[in-house]
Amino acid sequence: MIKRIVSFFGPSYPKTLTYMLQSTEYEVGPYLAWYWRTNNFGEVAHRRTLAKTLRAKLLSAGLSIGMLIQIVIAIIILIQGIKLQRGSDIYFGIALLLSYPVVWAHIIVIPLTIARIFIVKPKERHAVKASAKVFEQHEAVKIAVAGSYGKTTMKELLLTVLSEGKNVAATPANKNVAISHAHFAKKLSGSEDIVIIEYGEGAPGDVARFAKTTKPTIGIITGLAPAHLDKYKTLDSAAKDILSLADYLQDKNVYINSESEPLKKYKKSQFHSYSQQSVLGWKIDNIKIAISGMTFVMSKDADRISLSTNLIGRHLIGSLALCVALAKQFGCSNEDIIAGVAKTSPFEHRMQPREIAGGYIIDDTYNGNLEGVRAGLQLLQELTARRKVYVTPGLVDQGKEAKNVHQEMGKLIAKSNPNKVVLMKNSVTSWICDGLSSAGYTGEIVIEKHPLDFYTNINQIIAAGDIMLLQNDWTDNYK
Amino acid sequence: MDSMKTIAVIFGGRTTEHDVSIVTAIASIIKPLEVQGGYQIEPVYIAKDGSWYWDSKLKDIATFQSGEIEDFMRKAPKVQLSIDNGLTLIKSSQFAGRKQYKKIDVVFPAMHGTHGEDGELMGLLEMANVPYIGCGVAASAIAMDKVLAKQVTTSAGIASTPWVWFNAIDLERDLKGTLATIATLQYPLFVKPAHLGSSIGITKVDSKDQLMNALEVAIHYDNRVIVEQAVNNLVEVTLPIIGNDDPIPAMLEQPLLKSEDFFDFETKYMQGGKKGGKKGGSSKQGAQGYSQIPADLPKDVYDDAIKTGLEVYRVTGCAGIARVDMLIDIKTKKVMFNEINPMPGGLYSHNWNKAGMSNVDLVDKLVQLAEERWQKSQKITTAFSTSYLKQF
Amino acid sequence: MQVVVDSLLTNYYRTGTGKTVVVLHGWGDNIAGIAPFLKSLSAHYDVVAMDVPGFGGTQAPETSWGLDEYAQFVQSFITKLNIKPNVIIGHSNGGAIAIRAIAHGLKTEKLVLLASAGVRGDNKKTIGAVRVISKVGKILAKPLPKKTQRKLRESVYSTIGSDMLVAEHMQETFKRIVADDVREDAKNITQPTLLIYGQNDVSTPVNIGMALQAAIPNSKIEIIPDVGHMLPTDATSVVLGMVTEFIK
Repeated sequence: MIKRIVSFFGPSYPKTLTYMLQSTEYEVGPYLAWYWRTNNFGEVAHRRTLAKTLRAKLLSAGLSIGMLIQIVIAIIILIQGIKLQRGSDIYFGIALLLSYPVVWAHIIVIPLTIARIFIVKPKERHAVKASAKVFEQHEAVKIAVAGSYGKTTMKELLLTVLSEGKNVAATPANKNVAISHAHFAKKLSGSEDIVIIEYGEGAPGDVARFAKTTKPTIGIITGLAPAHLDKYKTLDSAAKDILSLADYLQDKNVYINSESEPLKKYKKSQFHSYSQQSVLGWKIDNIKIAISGMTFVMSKDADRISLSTNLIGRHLIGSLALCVALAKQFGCSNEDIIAGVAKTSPFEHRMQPREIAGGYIIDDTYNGNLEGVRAGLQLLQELTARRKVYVTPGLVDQGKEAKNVHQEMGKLIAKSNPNKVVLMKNSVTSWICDGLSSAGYTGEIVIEKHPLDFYTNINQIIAAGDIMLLQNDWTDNYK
Repeated sequence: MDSMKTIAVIFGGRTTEHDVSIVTAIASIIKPLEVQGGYQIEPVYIAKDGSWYWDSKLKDIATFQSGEIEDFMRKAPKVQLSIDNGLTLIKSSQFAGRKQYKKIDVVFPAMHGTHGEDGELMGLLEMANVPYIGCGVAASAIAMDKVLAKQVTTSAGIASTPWVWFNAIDLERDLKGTLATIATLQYPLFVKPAHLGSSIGITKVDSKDQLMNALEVAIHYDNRVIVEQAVNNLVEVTLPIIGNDDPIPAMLEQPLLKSEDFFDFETKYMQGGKKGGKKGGSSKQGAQGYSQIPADLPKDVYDDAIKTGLEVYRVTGCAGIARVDMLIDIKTKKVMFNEINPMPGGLYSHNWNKAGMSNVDLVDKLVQLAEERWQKSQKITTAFSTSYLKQF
Repeated sequence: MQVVVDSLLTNYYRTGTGKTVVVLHGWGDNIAGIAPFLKSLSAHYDVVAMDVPGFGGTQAPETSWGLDEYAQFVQSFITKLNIKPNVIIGHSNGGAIAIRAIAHGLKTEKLVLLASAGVRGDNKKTIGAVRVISKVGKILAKPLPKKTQRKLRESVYSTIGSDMLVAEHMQETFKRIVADDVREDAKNITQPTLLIYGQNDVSTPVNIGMALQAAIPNSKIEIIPDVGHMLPTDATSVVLGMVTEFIK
C-alpha cells in the first residue's frame, strides 16, 4: 500500500502513464482497467520500455505540465490559506496537492477520446472508402488471408514464394485492419500480378467489411482458435466472422487449413483444403525436420519437386505446400518455386532458432494461442537434443476460457515431455501446473519470478546439446 | 536468505594479470553464481597494492571501468580476516565503530598469475580450513613453475619437448657451463621465465647469436629460466578439465594463433601490445573466437591428447579446475606436455559450453567439487593427542 | 620481441629484408600506433622499430630523461642488436631524438624526419601558460573526488592539446624534452636528410620543418597538403613513396 502511494509521486510517473496508454493502443477502457489494477507504478514497465513516438512524447510532456500546473496552483492556494489562516483553503490546497497523480491519469483520457471521435474516425472512414475503389479497379489476383492464427505467416510465405516469378505486393508486417488496408492500397502501382491482403479480426463483422472493401478473388483461412474472445464471446461467432470471407467469395476459391480441428465443422464441400499431407492433388512426403530447417517432397502425376526451407515446425509444411500449389497454378516454374521456398526463413520471434553458448533457443515468443503452443511443442518433441527446455508465461487474452486453455496447455507440455519446464509466475501458472500434473509430467518444473532476468540470462544456463523453446510473450498489461 | 551458501569470490591481486582476473571473476564466476540463485556472493577485491576490499559494489564491472574504483578505495575500509576454523570477513561499517562480519562457506579464488594462482592464496585458505574452488597449494605451485611442472610430469613418464633449466645466478657464475647445457638442444629454442604466465618474457631464438639477448630478457623477469626446443610440425592444443578424483575433460581446443607468433602484427601485437606491453592477458582471454573447438585432429591423436591431459592433471595433483596445454608433432603424432594453468581465464567457459555444460552448471559443479574435497580432507587424521607435553 | 637495453626491458619489432631502417615513434605513440606504416615499409626494407622507453612495451626510465638520455639509449639499442642502420626515420619527438643521437655520433647513411619536433622557443609562451594553468587547476581541483579530478584533467588537456596526459608517469621527462632545442645539433648533420611535414600540422607546424631544413646542410623538405601531424598513419602511402624514392 505504502509502495503504491509512493509510486504515485515518483518522477517517472507521467512516463509510466504514457507507457500504459501506448501499450493499450490508446484505448480508454483497457487503460483505465489496467490503471486501477496497478499496485505499484514503479514496477509497471519492468518488461519493456516506452517507445518514444511523437504522440508519446506529447502525452508525456502534457501530463508533466498539467501536473506541474496543478502543483503550483495547490501551493499558491496553500500559502494563501496559511497566510489568511483559512482552514478550508488549506484543506483544499492539500487535497489538490496530493490528488494530482490520480486527477491527471484520468484527465488525459478526455483529449484522447475527443480526438478519436472527431478527428481520427472520420479521417479513417474517408480513407477506407477511397481504398475500396482502388481494390475494385485493380486487375491482379487478390488473395485474402484470414484466421485466428497463422495468417501473417501465410501472407509472408506467399509473398516470398510467389515473388520469385511474379510481381507481388502484400500488406506490411501485421498491419491488418481497414485503415492499414487503405494505406496499402495507396501504395499499389496497379501493375502487380498478385496482391495479398491480411485480415485481422477483432470484433464481429470485421472480416465481412474487409472483404467488401478489398474485393478478394481467392480466400485462405488459416485456422480457428479461441482468440479475442473478449469481443467475440464464443468460438462460433469468431468462426462466423472469419468464414464471412468464404461467403463473400460464394464459397469459390476458398482454401482452408484442414489441420485446424475447430475449423472442420465449418468446412463446406466446395472449399479446397490444405495440410501437410496434401493440397490440390499434390502429395507431400519425405518431411525431414532439424533445427537448421526442413526438407520435403511434393508430387503430382509426373511432377516431383524437392524443396528445402529454413523454417522449422511441421505445422508450416501445409502452408508452404499451398504456396507451391498456388504458384504452380499461377504458372511459376519449378526453379522459381524451389528458389522461393529456399528463401523462406523464420520471422522474428516465430519459431526462430538461434545459437547461444553452443546450445539453441527457438524464439516463438510472438505466438499467442493454443494452436501455436501445440505446434511448438510438437516441434520440440520431434527435434533431437540432449536436454529440452520449454519456457512460457502462458497465454494472454483467453477470457473465460483461460483456466481450461492453460490446463490443456499443461497437458500438451506433458505430452511433448521436455526435460524441464520454466513457467513465468503469474495468474495462470497454477492452471498450467494442474495440467502438467494431471498428465503425469515427471520432469523438472521451475517457477520463475523475474521473467526479465530469466530472458537476459539465458546465455548463462544454456550449453551445447540444449534446445530451449520460448513461447508466448506476456505484456505488462496482463497480470 | 540465511540458508543460502555464502561464497566469497576473490580477484584482482598483485600481478600483471590483475585486470584479466577482474573480468574472470565478474563475468564468468559472479554472474552465473548469481543467476543460479542459491548463493550469496561476497566479492573480495585485492588491489594492485595488495590491499583487500569487500563490498557489493565490486560485483559491477562498471566500478572498475569508470575509474570509480579509485574513489572507492580511498574511502572504503580494508578487510580483516578472522581465521577461526573457518573464514570470516570483517570490515568496519559506515556507522561509527560497528563492525560487519560475514562467515564464508566457500571461497572461489579467481586469481591469475603471481600471488594468487600460484598457491599463496590457497595456503591461507588451507590454514583457515575453508572449502575453496580449484587446485591446492602444491598443485598450484607446481603449475605456476614451468620447471617444476616439467620435472613432475617428466618423472611420471609424460613426454615433453627437450628442455633444460637454470637459475639466474648460474648464468652469472658459470656462463660457459650454462651455455653448454643449452647447447645440448637443437635450434630453434624458446627461452622462458619459469614463473610467468602466457607469453610474457618468452623469446623464440633461431640461432646462437640471438641466445644471449633472450636469456637477458628472461632473467630480467625471473630468477629461474627454462629453455625448450621448438616442436616441429606443431599443433598447439589446450584441454580444460574439472574434477577431483575423477576428472572430466571438456573439448580439446586448438588456438588458431600460435603462442610463438609474436610478430603477427594484425593479431597478437595489436591486441596485447597496445596497453603497455603486458601481453599476458591476451592469450588467456583471446582464446575465444581464435580457436577451434573441438580441435580438428585425427581421432587417435585427439584421444591421446585427452589422455595425456588427464594424466598431467592427475600426476600434478590438480583438483577442482585446471587447463593443460600440450604440443603435438602432427607428423609423428607425438603429444607433449607444455604447461598447466590452474585458473583458466574466464574458466574457459566457452569451451565448457561447447562440451554441454552451461556457465551456471559449471560454477555449480565447481562449488560442489570444492565442498567434496574439503569434506574428504576433514576425515584425514592430522591431529593426534599425545602425551608429549606431559612428559616434557 | 624483447631485449634488455641499458637495464630496461625493451620491446621492439623487426621484419622484412633489405636496407636496415630504424624507426622511432613520437611522444605518446608506440609501435602498434604506427603498425600499418611499419608493415608497408617492411615490404622494402629490414625494418627495426622500438617502443621508446616509457611507451608501448618498453619500461619507463626510473629517473626523468632528456633528449640526451634518449639519444644514448637509441645508440645502445642499435649496438645491442648489432645492426648497422642505413636509414633512421623519426616521427615527431622521434625526429628530435634522431637528430640528437646522430649529432652525438650515431652512424647512419641517411635520415628521414617526419613532422619532426625539436625547434622550441616559439611555443615557449604556450608551454608557460600550460604550466601555470595546470598548477592553479591542480590546487583548485584538490577538494573534488579523484574521478572528477581525472575527468577534468582529461578535458583540460584535450582542449589545449597537450601530450602530457598520454604518459602521465613521464611528466618531468616531457617538460625536459620540450625545453630542449636541437637546431644546434641539426647543423652538425652531414647525412642526406629528407624532411616531410603536413600542411595542416598544428603540433609541429611547417615553419618548424623550415627551421630544421635551414639548419641541416644536405637536406630537402616536402610538404604534404591536407594532412596534419600524424603522417605515418594519415598519409602512409604518400610518405612511403617519398621515403623509398629518397632511400634509392
